[in-house]
Amino acid sequence: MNARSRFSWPATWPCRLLLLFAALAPTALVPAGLARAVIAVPVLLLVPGALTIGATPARRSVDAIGFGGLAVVLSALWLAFAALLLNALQVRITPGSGYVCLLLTCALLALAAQWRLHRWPAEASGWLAEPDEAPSRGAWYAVGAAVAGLALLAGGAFVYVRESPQAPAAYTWLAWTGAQPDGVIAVSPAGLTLPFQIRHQQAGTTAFRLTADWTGANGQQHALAVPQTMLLGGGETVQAKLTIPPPPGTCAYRVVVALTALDSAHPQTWSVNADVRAGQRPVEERACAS
Amino acid sequence: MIVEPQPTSPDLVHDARQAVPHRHRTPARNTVWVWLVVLVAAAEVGGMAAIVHSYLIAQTTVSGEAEFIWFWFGMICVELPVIALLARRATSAAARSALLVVIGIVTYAPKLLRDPGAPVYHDEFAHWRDTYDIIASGRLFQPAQIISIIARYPGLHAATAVVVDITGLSTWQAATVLLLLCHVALLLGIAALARAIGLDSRAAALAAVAYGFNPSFLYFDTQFAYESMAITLVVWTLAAFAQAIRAAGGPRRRAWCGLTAVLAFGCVITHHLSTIELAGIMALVSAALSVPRLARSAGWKATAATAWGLTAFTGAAIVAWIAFVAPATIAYLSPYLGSGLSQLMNMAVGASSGRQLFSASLSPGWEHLAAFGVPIVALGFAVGGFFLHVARPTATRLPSGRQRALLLAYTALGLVYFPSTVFILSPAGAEGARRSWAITWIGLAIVAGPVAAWLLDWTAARARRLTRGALRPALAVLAVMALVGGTAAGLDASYRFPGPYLYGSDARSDTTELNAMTQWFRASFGAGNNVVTDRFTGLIMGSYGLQDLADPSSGFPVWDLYTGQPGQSLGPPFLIADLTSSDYRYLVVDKRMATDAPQVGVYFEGSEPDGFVLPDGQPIFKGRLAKFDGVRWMTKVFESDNYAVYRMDLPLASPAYQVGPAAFHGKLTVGR
Repeated sequence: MNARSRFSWPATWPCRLLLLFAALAPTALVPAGLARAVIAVPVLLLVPGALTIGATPARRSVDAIGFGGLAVVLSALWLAFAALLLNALQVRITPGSGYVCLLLTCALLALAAQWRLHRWPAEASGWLAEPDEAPSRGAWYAVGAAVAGLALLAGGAFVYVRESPQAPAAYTWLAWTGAQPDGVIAVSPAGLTLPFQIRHQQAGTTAFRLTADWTGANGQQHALAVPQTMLLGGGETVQAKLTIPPPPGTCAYRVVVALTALDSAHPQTWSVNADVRAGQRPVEERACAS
Repeated sequence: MIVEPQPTSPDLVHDARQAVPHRHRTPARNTVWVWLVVLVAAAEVGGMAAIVHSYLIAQTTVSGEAEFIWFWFGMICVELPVIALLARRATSAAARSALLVVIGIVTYAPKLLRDPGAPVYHDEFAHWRDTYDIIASGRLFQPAQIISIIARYPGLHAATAVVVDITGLSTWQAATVLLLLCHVALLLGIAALARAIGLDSRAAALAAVAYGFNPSFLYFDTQFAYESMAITLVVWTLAAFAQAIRAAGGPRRRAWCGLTAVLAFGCVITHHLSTIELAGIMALVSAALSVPRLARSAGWKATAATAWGLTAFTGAAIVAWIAFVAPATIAYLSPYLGSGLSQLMNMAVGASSGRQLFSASLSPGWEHLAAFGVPIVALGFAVGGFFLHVARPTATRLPSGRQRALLLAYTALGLVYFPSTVFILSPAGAEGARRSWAITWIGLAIVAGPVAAWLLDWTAARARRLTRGALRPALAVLAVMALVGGTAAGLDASYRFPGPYLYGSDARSDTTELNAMTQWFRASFGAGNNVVTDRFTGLIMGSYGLQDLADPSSGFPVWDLYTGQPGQSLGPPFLIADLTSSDYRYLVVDKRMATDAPQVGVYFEGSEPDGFVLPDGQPIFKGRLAKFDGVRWMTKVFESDNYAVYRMDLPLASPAYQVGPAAFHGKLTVGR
């Protein structure tokens, strides 16, 4: 074997694939996303599997596309096995640990594959499966088919996403904001402010009435604050608040803030509620009931 | 494809190259090829445009026929010309494999276009969340939301997480790349398996094409779920297994045994049912190899021992995994089979009427007809395969020994498809039956490939041009019917096509309002809150919302909160105690529960009691959801058009409320 053939692709492909995998490390400097993926995905999802097949005598009975298919499947498995191994070793699965684990795996597989090539040089003769096919023809056909298919798929997806209409956002909400303690909220002598938010994600402007009431044990509503009327435009978000003094006595009161749309024949109402009481605990209050 | 040059039987494989003498390319033939490639490329582009157009129509249509017509026109354009090219005798094995790659990629288009940017299917939300948890925590086996068992089978999630980590792609992008590759590898795997069994490259490629007509191929097995990766692993394990059987012994057999074991173990950590089915197929093949009359050839005992050894390894691996890692698997799987069988028994004795097929389907009648025709076509091909292999062995040159045993085992596997179709009539068995078809079609495809090749040759041999001209379109019509009917028998149109919001549909419940509520919830209360809600709200809250959802069951009947009558205390008491002890803090209500019946038939999960939709079609929840506003231990913290969020203040306290009027006045202030 002369020096040229000693370093030819058929004689050294496991080592070259290992170098290719090792060269993935600098891609961490490439911004995450499509650019890095275009470089990393083919290596990540072909090299570990290809080295696995290379490390066994099974390689000779696999043609180019079978080799590619099996390599992809085995590579995907190695990703899972690497994560499983790291988990068993109680090492966190991170970009670094995952990559190092796979690199070590690839190194072991490349060693085995290279040893096989050294021990049985006849295996370096490529993946000739069909005697009437040139060794590389199947691989080039596969690459061409994959590129053409992916271009078609990507083109279809691009056109579809570009032409798809935006899903209409049509809703209004009312929600408490800020800290929301459990149970009945104690109102200090200085009073309490309950902030809330109104979001009107509809087309056009709508008139609303905002009310605040309180209810007691019998559920009957009592006005708590002077209602407000307002116009909200599409996509508008409004911050509002309900300010209350300490409620009379030591009973709990349920305060209810409600928003009612005024423009439609069947006005829709949104509401939120909270229980409040004056700061001190009730002792024996005849005016209260559970 | 995997090709094993067998010293024992090289001349027994019917190969195109044996039948067609080598012909040199002439300029005229090259011109024909160029034209063929141009025509096929034009059909591919036109077909893809039609598929895109069908999806754009579907986005704004609740149920129409136009999207179906455009879709199938597109699919026929992208598939049939490639199949025709692949089926030509003159096409080389390498070109056939490349054409299979094209079919694999373009048949991923329907699913890619269905959800190009985010999960849409029920199981996809669960797998997305599990992958997110692995990436966020750096640990496998995190408790899973939505489908708890998936956490114990981390193969797909772990692989996706590593791709995300190393490439910087989003979880969904990484999953899409991985699943596209698995999808293409699945077709190549079927062809590899067929070659390993002994079919020539043409019959093997046609077997792969036939497999592509199975009901799970276009949508179910392309979703981001563990079975999508597992089915590819199953097929490649079987291909390696067949190679191990056919290898003459020595290092090559050991190598294929090793690869079989690696792939089988990969299957074990990826999906329970697929691995059990894999072990079953391996046992079937091993049994066929153990029948002396069937498998008799040199070294058959050693071959049978190898097959049984690999089967035992796979069986032991899945049993050990279930015993030590995923003991919940038994409880997860057993209700499906048990209920399916008992419902079939009830139907047999007339105690129940079973399912009405396509009763809630949005797809047109001709799709249903095609779906009913698929088993008939499949039966025709199965009988044809039997006739070819047994009655006319010279047609396929089926050898005695290992190859015959393999082929008969796969024929037996394919025949399981026919009794399994009965289960489709049982509500509980339908899901299992559908899922089994991805497996049984492996056998059917292996049988159908040589039959298709033989039929093509037979039609080509007809002397009369008219007969030839009529028979080939008839074969194309059969292929189209199998494609349309097979897909229609799989998933419902609401899964297959985008479209307007549909209450109670897994795949069309994601709205901007639900997403806005979920984002508000997460921004207000953080991740990891224990939340009670319905199935469809839970998909988004349990995935993007990163909340931990209640898993409703008869032992934890959270639906009782919703069905409770106004004015009565919520219960039962053990449920309230469980909610308290497990620290459930929030209840989310979709107000449409009170007005709409769910498209998938359940509001929560399959184990919920019957009768949530009353005989008059009204939901039992009508008039029962506003009661939460008056529940003293619940505080309504959010309300939008269709959703209300309540904080549950558990354990139950009994605050004393004001009785009668009081001078209590505050002030509303609105800012901008």
